[in-house]
Amino acid sequence: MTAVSTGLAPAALRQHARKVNPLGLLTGVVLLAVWQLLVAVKALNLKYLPTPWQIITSYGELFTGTPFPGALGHTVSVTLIGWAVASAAAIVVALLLGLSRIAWNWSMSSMELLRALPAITMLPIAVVIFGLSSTMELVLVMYVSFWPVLIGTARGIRSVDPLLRDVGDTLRLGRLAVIRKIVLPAAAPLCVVGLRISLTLALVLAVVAEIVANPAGIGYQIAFEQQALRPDLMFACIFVVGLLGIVLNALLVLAVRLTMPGVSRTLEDAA
Amino acid sequence: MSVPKSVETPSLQGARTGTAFYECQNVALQVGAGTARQRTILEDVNFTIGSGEFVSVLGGSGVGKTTLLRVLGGLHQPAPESTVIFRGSPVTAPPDGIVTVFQDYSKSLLPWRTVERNVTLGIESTSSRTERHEAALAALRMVGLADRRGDYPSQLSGGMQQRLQIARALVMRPAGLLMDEPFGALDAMTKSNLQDILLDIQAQTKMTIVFVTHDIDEAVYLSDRIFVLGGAPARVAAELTVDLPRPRDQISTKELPRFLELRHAAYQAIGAHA
Amino acid sequence: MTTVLDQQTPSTQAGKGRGSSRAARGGGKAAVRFLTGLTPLVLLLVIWQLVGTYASPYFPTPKAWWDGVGALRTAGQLWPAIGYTLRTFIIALVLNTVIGSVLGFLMGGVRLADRSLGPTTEFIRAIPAAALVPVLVLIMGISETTDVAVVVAGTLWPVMISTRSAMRRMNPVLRDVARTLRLSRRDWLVKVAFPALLPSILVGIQVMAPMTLIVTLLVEIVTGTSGVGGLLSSAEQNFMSAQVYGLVCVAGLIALVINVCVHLIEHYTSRHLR
Repeated sequence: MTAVSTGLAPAALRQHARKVNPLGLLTGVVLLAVWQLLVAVKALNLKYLPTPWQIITSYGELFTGTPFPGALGHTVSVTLIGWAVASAAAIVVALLLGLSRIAWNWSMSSMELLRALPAITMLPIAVVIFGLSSTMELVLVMYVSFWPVLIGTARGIRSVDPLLRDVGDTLRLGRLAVIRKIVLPAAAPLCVVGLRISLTLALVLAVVAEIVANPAGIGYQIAFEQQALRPDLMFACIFVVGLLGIVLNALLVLAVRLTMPGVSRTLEDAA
Repeated sequence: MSVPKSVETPSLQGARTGTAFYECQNVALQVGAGTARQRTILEDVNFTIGSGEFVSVLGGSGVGKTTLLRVLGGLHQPAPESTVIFRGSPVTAPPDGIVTVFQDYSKSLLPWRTVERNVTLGIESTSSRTERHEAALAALRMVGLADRRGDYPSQLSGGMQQRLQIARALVMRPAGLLMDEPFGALDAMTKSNLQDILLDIQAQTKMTIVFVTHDIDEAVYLSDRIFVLGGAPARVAAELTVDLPRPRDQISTKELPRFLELRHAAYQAIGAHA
Repeated sequence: MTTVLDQQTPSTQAGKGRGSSRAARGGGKAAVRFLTGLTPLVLLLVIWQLVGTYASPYFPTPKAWWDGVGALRTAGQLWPAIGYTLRTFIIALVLNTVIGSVLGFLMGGVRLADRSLGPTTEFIRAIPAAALVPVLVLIMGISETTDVAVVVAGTLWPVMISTRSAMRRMNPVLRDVARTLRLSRRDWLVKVAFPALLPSILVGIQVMAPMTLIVTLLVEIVTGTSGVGGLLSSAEQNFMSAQVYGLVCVAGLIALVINVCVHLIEHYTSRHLR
């Protein structure tokens, strides 16, 4: 039993240190300290600029004294439900388009054009049709989640090597088996890329809809605190949104790795 | 060496009755039919292949060997006047009992499946989980990859990937294997190793093998008969019978005078119709 | 009808001399595909116009959209708004390019800068620009400066990322060249580093431009005061649905024009830089 095998050797330590990046953390802390200092000595004197310390201490109030926990739940559920439903629909549509050259030729440029329309401009239309409600927010989230998954999955299906269809033929696989065992797994990496993009967009659009139109969720909390002139609470909410994006994305990657380890491998190999 | 029960192919019955394995008459194929770019690739191709034979299709690059193989494999339809008969029935789709092994092995494998699950791809709908597992193990043992069954194709070398593709074909218990320049992309040592593995497999299973190659030495070393494909449009320019003794050996067989004669004849046949 | 063979090995394709005319025919085919692909959209608009009600509060007909935008034009509000949006967009684009490429250059070239600034930039990147709008409006007030600041904070990253990775992948020989020729720091930056990085910067701009437009519109919608987004916001609040649909089309057209410009720039510059 040597020190190396117990992972305490200097080389192993250095490897761990590289992953944790203390220098980066230090820089972040230093920048925060500078911010704090500049405000404290009034060098940076904007009326509503809070200090990092004020932001940190406001978290207690955020979670106990405001409806934030419920708001958080609302935003997360609208994001996830809208994203999941839209993604499932997009995968099905992409399958139909990808497997039929006729369908593809007669619809693809329409899709590309609609996709090029900035999703944010759909918000006023959603408000016009559904009013200032959670339905509006859900529909908007579904609209914005649909396109990246559609494009990603369709591209993935088209990217399947024609040789693999010959492989399916020579191994006597039926049409359904070819789709299930070859086309879908081969399309999966690009589909997952689309899923990650749309998850990020779903969260952002949910928050925007809440800021501007639907009085519920984290976005509404931010707008409320703006009216209440509490920038410290606003920043606190904002950082939670950022963290939420990271966590949701990480959970998605984890879910892919757990349910489809083979596909996860091809994703990593390609990276 | 005893033959493992699980790999003796049921098709042996057909072989003993004397029905030709493959019978081709007047096979022709055009591409770009009806356009200005119409070309005839194959014309008036005639041959018969008997059961259990190892036949090489030899010719230069681009002459149409792969095309002919795809026709035999039911992956491509020839011109209407052609006759392609497999064990008494015309070939219109991939025939039962025939599996094609492709040249581009890395693209033909599924990178998201383990080695073992790549092998079972073709038999998943027709056998239970335990049957599949045993059949896959037997096939992997035949090609010497049994210890890598939990790995992924990206972790295997080129030679191993090609062996994996062969195992995937073997597990289907085919009567015949159609191989499209399977060792073309491999280095010399891996190539000779795989050639010997292939000869072993054929000796054990008594399968018919149609082997496309442009390597003359390889064709002579492996085959019972060689069809030299040549001309444009291509036809069977020559048929050579390789009467070298079996089992073959990389060193001693290649030193036999008869080997050199056959090699010479093959070079001449190709040269005359290049 | 194209067959599988037409996609096969180069030896089965037509000779090289015919390549350019085939490319032209390919471009024509792509144009036809583009037009046929628009059919669903065109059909939708036509049916909507024929079946819908002009003054519907939820689904006004396309003619109503046209009239709604026309009303804004007559009132002298449309073009100033478009101008404001484009102005904000262009300023933000330029700032993004400059700041992004300098940051990327630093982080790609100086390992220490990369490791120290990395986590902080990652953190800021994770925050969506939309969430920042209210708080920055509170701190900095409502003005064009605030708008630009938010857009830059939200869309700086693609150029930074592509410049950084280009720096890290830069051929190390180029640095040695600078030293051998005793180039001054300035000469190296201007004559060697910048041209080498330019393609990646352009790629970053291509990715970033649509994002910048989106966030510009987003900021305008959230603050509700100026630009096309501001018009959208007030139309929505005043229940003028036809105007909302019309303005969405205007925003879409702007996005299209910007996309086309970016593609053209990329097309012309890449020809000279390869």
